[in-house]
Amino acid sequence: MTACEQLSERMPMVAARRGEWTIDEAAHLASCPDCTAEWRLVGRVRRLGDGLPPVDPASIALRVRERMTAAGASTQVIPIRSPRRTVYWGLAIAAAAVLAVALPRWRSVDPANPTADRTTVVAGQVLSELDDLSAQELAALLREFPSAPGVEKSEPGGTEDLNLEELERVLRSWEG
Amino acid sequence: MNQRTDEELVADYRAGAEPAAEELVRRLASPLGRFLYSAGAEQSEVDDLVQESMFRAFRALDGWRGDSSFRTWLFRIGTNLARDAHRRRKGREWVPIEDHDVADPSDPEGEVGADELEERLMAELDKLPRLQREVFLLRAQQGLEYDEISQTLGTTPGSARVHYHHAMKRLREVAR
Repeated sequence: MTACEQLSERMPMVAARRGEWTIDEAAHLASCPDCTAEWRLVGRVRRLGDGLPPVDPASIALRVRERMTAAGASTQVIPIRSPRRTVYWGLAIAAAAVLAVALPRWRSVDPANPTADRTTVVAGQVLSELDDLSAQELAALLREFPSAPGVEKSEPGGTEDLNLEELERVLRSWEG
Repeated sequence: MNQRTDEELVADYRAGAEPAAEELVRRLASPLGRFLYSAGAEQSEVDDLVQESMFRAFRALDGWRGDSSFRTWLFRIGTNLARDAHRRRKGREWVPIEDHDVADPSDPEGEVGADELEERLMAELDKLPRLQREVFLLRAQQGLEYDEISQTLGTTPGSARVHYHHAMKRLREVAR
């Protein structure tokens, strides 16, 4: 890298007062027309916009805050998931998982038609129906399924004793 | 006295400290305004662009991953807004310098006034390709490093360096 290239690389930082010229660099700057022109240009560019009306930070901050309020954005820390939503989604996932595991088995032992192949029930078709259920409905659904015909009380793994956090962890592990 | 970094102020703000937002605005609004103005924004729209950039930055803080500085992120938002404003305005066209006669940099009076130099510089900046102009300003005016520039403009550090030196080569004549 030539002396000119070295100076060129450092000019923005020196102009921003994040560095200083060494004695050698200063001597080169004084004797090199290209570097002198470049240094003058950097100085001019840094002063571009000097004629702009001064920015009033307090005013801008106030307007931003007003807009944030109007937009419904709180300036407080917002939990990524509210407890209520966590409960809802925990239940939804649990219900989906239980249905996915239990429903085919439950249907496969239909006493009215024991030979029919019911294991082709597609879990996804069932799961989409959970979308509109309330948390209470999902909880009720979960309570009902373990007692369905052909499904052991402990299916699909004794999740009824788990707290919400444990339940979510188990469900995540099922999802891979 | 230790000055809190931008990132520390962002953390303060997210924890509910409103004054931190004002301090960020106080630090960054003016440099952002100067950059946007130098990059081609109309003087009359600079204030709105700065305010909009700040609003969007604060509103979308949850989306800021912290893998670039807050300043870089804010300038990226501002740059995109200015580009959109320019596209809507369609008043000015960024044409490569080869398509124009370069203004004679020599001053017949032997002295160039600061205002005239600024006008000439702005005119030459206008002629640069957009990306080259933005890279040049972020480096020469704002003192950003190449990796910060690449994060701001969505390019690579190596490409930013090339753009900067191309722009410098073209503009240096203005300062002679």
